[in-house]
Amino acid sequence: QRRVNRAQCPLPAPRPARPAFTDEAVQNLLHKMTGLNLEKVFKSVKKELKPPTYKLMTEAQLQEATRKAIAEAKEKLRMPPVLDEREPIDDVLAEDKILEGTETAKYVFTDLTYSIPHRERFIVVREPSGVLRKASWEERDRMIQIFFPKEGRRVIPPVLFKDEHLVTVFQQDRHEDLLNMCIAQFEPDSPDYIRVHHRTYDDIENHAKYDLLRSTRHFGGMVWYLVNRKKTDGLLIDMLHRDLLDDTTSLITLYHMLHPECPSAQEAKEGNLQGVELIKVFVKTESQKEGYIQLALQAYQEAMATSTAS
Amino acid sequence: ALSAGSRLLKSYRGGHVVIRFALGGCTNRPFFRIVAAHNKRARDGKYLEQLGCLDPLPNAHGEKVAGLNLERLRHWLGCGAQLSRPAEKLLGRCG
Repeated sequence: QRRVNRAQCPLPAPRPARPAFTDEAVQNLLHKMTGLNLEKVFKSVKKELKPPTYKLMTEAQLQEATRKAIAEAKEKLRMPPVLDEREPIDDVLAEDKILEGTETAKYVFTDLTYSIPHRERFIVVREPSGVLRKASWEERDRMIQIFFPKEGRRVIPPVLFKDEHLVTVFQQDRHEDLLNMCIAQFEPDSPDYIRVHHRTYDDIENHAKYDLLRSTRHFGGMVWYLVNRKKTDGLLIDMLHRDLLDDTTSLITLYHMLHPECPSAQEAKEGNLQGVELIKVFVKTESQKEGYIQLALQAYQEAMATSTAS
Repeated sequence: ALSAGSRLLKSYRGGHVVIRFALGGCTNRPFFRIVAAHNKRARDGKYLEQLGCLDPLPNAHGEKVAGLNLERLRHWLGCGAQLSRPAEKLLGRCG
């Protein structure tokens, strides 16, 4: 069930009318950058071995099948929501001193009415001291998993999500599987989910492994994180090496949308620049690895020149 | 066919509905189900509806887990069910 999305604002100064993760323009840009590598999206998950089925189709049917495959791929590439961390619940409902000392353990009461969404369930804890309080988020998640089990979730989060084990996963290059597991296990606004995602994105950026996530549904989240923290240089260089000019322009447009007060954004607005000019302005003002980006840009332009000449 | 089926349906003279605990689970491992049943039924016998459960032993986090289907509880209490003493205590504890 989709939850309400709020903008992710890590910077301290409040800004008026910040574009949110769910804005149409932002989503379109992120979707374009994600790419649509059908081979990778429909990569076969390990199932029982079956001999491949062959179908004989006309041209029109083939186009129809391709269209349906693209629509399904779009559905699979829908980005999971990016939300702020949830605040801890700390609500005391009643304090009954009469009950103090009568019990030895906490009692956790869960409302099992089937038609209530999980967010609005009443999950209440009665402490041995007689205090009746609302359950914290971890307790809520555990109880909901016990009574309404969801596939792919465990009652106690696996040890894999601890920091020392995340390092092992990164060395095996299995970021995508890790992120899928994380989505299945945690709620999008839990601190664990956010911590694991940030750790993954940092690691990918440190080792420049952007291509691992390129055609998956995590790419948008990663780009959003990097742009908010202004660490887009590695991604730019990677895109230029792969000759993706449209993606570079959309990345820079997104950057300008999110940080409208930076000098490159203002220059771009004045001059209404497009394409290579936009990249040059951006590189001059914002990036830290100017040299690398200039080199990559030159290489790209030479490659374009030779390909158009030949 | 009809006579065989109707003998299985027990109808009481003057019994009433109670909400009480039905004990289940293995040796040295009790587990209560909160159940709406007729007064005269066996403790673990056929009930009208299961309204929740209670695990009297604390789990790894030191909690005693209980679940209550509040909507159906309200329905049975509205129909005039009575509560057993431990059921009253439990509902009192959860407020």
